[in-house]
Formats: sequence, structure tokens, C-alpha cells
Amino acid sequence: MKIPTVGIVGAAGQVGSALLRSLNNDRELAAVGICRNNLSAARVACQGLRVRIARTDDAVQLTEATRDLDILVNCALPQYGPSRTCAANQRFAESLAAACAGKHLVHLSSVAVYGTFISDRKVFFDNPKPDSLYGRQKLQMERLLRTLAKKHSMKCTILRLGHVYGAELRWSEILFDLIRKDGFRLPFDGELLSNAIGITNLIAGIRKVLFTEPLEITLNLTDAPQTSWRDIFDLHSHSTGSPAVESLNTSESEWRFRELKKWAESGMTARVARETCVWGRHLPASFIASVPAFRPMLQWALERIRSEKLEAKLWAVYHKRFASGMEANPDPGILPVFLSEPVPGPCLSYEGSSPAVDLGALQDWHDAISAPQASMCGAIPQW
Amino acid sequence: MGIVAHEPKDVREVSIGVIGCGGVVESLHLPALASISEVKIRWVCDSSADRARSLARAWGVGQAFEQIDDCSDVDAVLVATPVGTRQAILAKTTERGWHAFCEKPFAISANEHRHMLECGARYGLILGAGYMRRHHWAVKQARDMMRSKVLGSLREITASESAQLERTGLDLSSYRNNARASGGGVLVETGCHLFDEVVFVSDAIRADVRTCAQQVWNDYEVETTATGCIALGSGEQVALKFAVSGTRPVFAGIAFRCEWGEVRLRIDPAKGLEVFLKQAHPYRLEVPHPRPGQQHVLAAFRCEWLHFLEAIRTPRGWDVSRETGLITSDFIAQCGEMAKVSRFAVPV
Repeated sequence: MKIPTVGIVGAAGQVGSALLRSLNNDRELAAVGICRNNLSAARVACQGLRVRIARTDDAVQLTEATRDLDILVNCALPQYGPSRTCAANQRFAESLAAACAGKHLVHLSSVAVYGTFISDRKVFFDNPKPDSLYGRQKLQMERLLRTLAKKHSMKCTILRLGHVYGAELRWSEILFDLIRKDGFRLPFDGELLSNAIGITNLIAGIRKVLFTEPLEITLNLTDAPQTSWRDIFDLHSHSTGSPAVESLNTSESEWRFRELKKWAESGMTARVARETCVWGRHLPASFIASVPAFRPMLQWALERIRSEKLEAKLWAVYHKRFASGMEANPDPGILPVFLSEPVPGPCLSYEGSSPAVDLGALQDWHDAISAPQASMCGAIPQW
Repeated sequence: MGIVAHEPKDVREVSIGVIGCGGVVESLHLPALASISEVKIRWVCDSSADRARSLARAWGVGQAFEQIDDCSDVDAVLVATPVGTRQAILAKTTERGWHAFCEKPFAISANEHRHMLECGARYGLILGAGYMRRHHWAVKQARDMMRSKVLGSLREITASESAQLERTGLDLSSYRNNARASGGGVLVETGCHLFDEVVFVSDAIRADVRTCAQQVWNDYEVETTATGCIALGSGEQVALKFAVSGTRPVFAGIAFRCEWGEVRLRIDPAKGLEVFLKQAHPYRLEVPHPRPGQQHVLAAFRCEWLHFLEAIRTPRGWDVSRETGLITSDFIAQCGEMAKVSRFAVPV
């Protein structure tokens, strides 16, 4: 019997490459990576994995490159400036749908569609309200694919991935930095559920989808059972040999949670008013571009106006003022993520494993990126 | 709060032309230039007229050209086209008597580099290269530490970087997929920055490569590892281990191992500097940036432009070989000559 062949679109990315590596060792299916340029393809090919190069936003090219494949898993997302991204998403979705006509597409979305701070009152599973460019792009792709699925007789399973951690993943890098950072404290001692997913569990979840009857469904994919932030931080501390992260005291955790909730429940107009007041108070030492809400608001507006000329002009003004002597935009902070409530709606049910399964790989990766001599001597045998 | 670098006192206006209108020009060079009061950007020029026009409109630049021959005279130009195309462009700009600031690396080979320096010298022009990492606060701190010998003599340097080039949005039409235009791979694209930091911090005057291995995929070099040594002005030889990889994660930074400790410089300017003191129990000391808001890469671009503009006004003391990174070009050339190349191909 012919084993199914899975194409991983975006195979050089963080999730795509881990998925391809894992599926490549699977006896029950074959996997091939789809990349859009030589640089990405090289990352895949040097690991001895199969790879094809095709323009992912060109329906003819992508269809040709994936003609012999049975299932596609999309791990890619075009990321340009806000005004170009909508059109790029449209082309990409059309191209994916054409390539998957009559086939099964597993599309990886993100819990970012629910917003940075997930709060039970604000969040809806069917009609989420993302508050970042990334979240809105992910949601747009979901909607485009849902619409195109009917036209192309494609079965599209959408998985909204939690914050993915593990070796070579951006979230783990952020956690390593936080662990090293003096003064970082974990709210509620990390007892809240994280909405995160280890890379091993993610692969297990996707495998489950690949081996079951294709369903037109949208599901969340997090660790099963859900892990707490404490579990995840301890895993990362352990892998770096650092002490456990201290906790933020309860009263401050509660205060921050209440503030975030108030902020999340306020409408865009209220937020604009508040931020404008902040801006006004700081004039003339700062100006509008230094208001934290300015950039996301501008991105939001540009996505809707879709004028590349206007975008180029506005960024020119923004950058010029920035270079002239303003401080970098203050980091809006990662705290909302650690204070979020569990994702709404149904989660994919699969047999998850404990976060500890990712410990070895995390340790190896951490050693490779943090210890110059040790990592290089081990990695480069000719030395 | 302002960015640290001080502008030159002479406020004579410097007219600038921009050749090449790619992403780095739009997001970093133009903002940096536009923020310097005495700079006047006269025109932009790109092989794509549409691109040049759109950038000119966005930045309020008066003219946009498709051909350098059509451009009006300026004091200096930014040459930000792919490295493989620069020799011909610089030949034209030097003939027109324009000082030139090139994106890094300065040239595709050591010979081409020397030839371009000779041309510049013949016309008495200032040439510079965009090795902006030299202007990061942590890099300057590391150099000061090395010069002060506070940790004793330099013994060994280990430099490595994962060449995480921006891959999203690039398709096969990008110059980065063209081995000739891009200079051949990650060593030229990313490794030149890394090696330039090594040279800048250690004040090296020469590099000798002993062994080198390169991995090549579809004519594109995706990993280079090299060993060798660098010679310091004092005559000392310092062992060097170097790796730049577009295919696997490695430590992103440079470790300068000295007699009594080690200085670690991260590629990310926000990560500052780490100093490890060699005692009975090694002691790690983190040296953070005093003004974290000023670590933006744009600040470094602005500093390098101010540095270059200063040289146009006061050319004395401008060491063109050092400023354009001739040792780095030599190092890259030696790697190319010594490299044991392994090509890999995978069935599709």
C-alpha cells in the first residue's frame, strides 16, 4: 500500500523544520519540504531532508510542485508591511487552495487571533478579536482558507497553535532571556495555564490530524493536559542550569491582572484617548510615534487602507523622527501573555506528553547558542 | 533623549545621492541620513525606476533616476547595490568625483577591493563601508577593554554566528539567491560583519587562515568554518576560530579569551557585554548598555554616517584600508582559496 506523502509549506521555519524532521523519521508517511528560496531550502536540505523550491504565492507553480503529494501542512505566513500583507495573504491562500483542490490542508494558525491578553469576557472562539498585526494576519488567512475550501473542494483543518516552545524556537529564546533577566517575576507564581505547547506535543497533535479522517474544523492546539507557566519556566531554568524564576507577589499579580482586564475590555476609542493623553503629558519631550499604541494603530489603519504609497510615506516620517533622537518604543511587555486565561473553544484531543520530553533537546540547543568554545568544538569536527 | 553620536561642528550642507533602493536603504540609511540636519539627499537611483520613484516620493527626495549617468553631481553617494555589482558603479562615481559610502562588504574580492581603493586614491576621494556594528556601544566597550589589557594579553578568539538572513518574502528573484550578485553566500553576507568586529575590537592588522571548510548548496555557500590566527600591531599572534552558518544554530557572538578572563560580545546589541573573570570560581559580570533606548540599530547607522561625513570634511587620519575593511576582504578571499568545499544535494 502506498504511504501518504505530506508536503510541509514553510519547511525552513521554526515549526516547519521541526515537523519535517520528525515526519521524515515516520514509517507510516513520507514528508517533503516546500520552500520559496534557496536560502530556506538549504537549511532543510543540509539536514538530509527532501525539499522542493516553489513560489508559494503562485498557484500554478505550487500546484505543479505538490501534484504528487497527498496532504499539505501550511506552516508559512507571508510577512511584509501591513498594506502589502493582506494582498500577499490573498495570493498565498488562493495558491494553497488551488494546490490542495480535492486534498487535505492542515493550516497552522495561532492563539494570537484571540489577542495578546486572553480574557474570558473579551474572547470569542468563532469571532476572535486579535490586537496585533500577526494575529490579524493569522485570522485573515483562516477566513480566506475557509471561503476558498468550498470552491476548491478542499478539506481544511485549522489548528490554532499555542505558544510553541522547544529547541530552536523563538518562545524558548524569550524564556531564556527572561530567566536571565534580573527583576523578572512570574505572576501568580506561574500557576495560570499557559496556552503553550511543546514542540513534541505539537508534532503529536499534527500527526493525529494527519492520520484521522480529514475534517473541516478549527481547533486549538495546546499541551494536553495544559501546562502551567511554572512548568514551562522550570523546564527552561533546568535546561540552562539556572535557579527557578521567583514569583511576583499575589497582590501585585492581582493588580496587574485587573489593570490588563480593564485595558482589554476598553474599546479602541478609549484606548486611543488614553494613549493620546499620555502623549500630551510628555510633549514636547516625546511625540506621537513614541506612544506605545501608535505603531499597532498605524499598522491596523494601513491594513485597511492598503495603500503602499501612504505606508511608505508614513514610515518615512516615523523613521526620520525616530532617528532624530527619540527613544526606542518601550516594549509593550510580555506580561499579558503570562496573565491570560485559557483559550476559548475546543482543543484538539491527542495523547500529549510531559514538557520534560523536550528537556534534552532544549539543553543541547542552549549549549550550542550560549557557550562559544564548547558548542563550536562539538559541532565542527574538523577543529 | 537623543542618540549619542555628536554631529560635526562644520554645518556646511553635504549633498548625497543614493544608488540602490533596497530594504536596508529604506528602513535604515534614509532615516539616518534624513535625521542629520546638514545632509541634503538630492536623488535616489535604482535599476527599477518605479522603486526609485516610490522611495523618492516617500522621503521627499527631489529626483529619481534609473541610470547613474543621468544623475546630477553630489558631494557623496551611498552605494547600496548588491556587492557583485559595485565595481562598475564605483568606477562611475569616482570618475564623477563623488565620495562613496558602500554597503558592506566593500568588494567581492580582495583584488577588487584594492583596485577600488586605488581608484579612490587616484581621485583623492573618501571611501567608506557600512560596517555599522563597529558603532554599537558594546563593541566599542569591548575594544576599550582589549586596548586597556585589563584582562591581560589576548590569547584566542572564537567568533560564530547563525546567519539568520531574512528569508520571509524572498523568492528566487531576490539578489540573495544569485550567488554572483550576493557574493556567494553567508560568509560574504553575514560573516564579513562578524570578522570585521573581530578586527575592530582586537585592532588586528592581518589575518591568516589555516584551515577552512565550506558547505555549498545550489552554488550558494551556506556555512563556513575556519581556523587561523590574527596578527596584532604589537606583533603578537592570536588564535582564531570562526564559524558562520546559515543552517544550524551556533553561539551568536565573539569570545575574546585573555590571560585573566574572557570578554563575550553578543551579536544582538541589546545583550551588551559579558566579562568572565578567571578566578578559583569563574565570576560572570554583565555590562549592560547605560541607555537601553539607544541600542536601536538605527543609532549605529546614524553614527557611521556622522563618522563618514566627518571624514569628508576632515580627511586627515582616514585610514581607508581599515575603514573599508580590507583585512576582512582578505580573510574572505583566503577562506575561498583554502576551503574544502562539500556540496550537498538532496533528492526532491
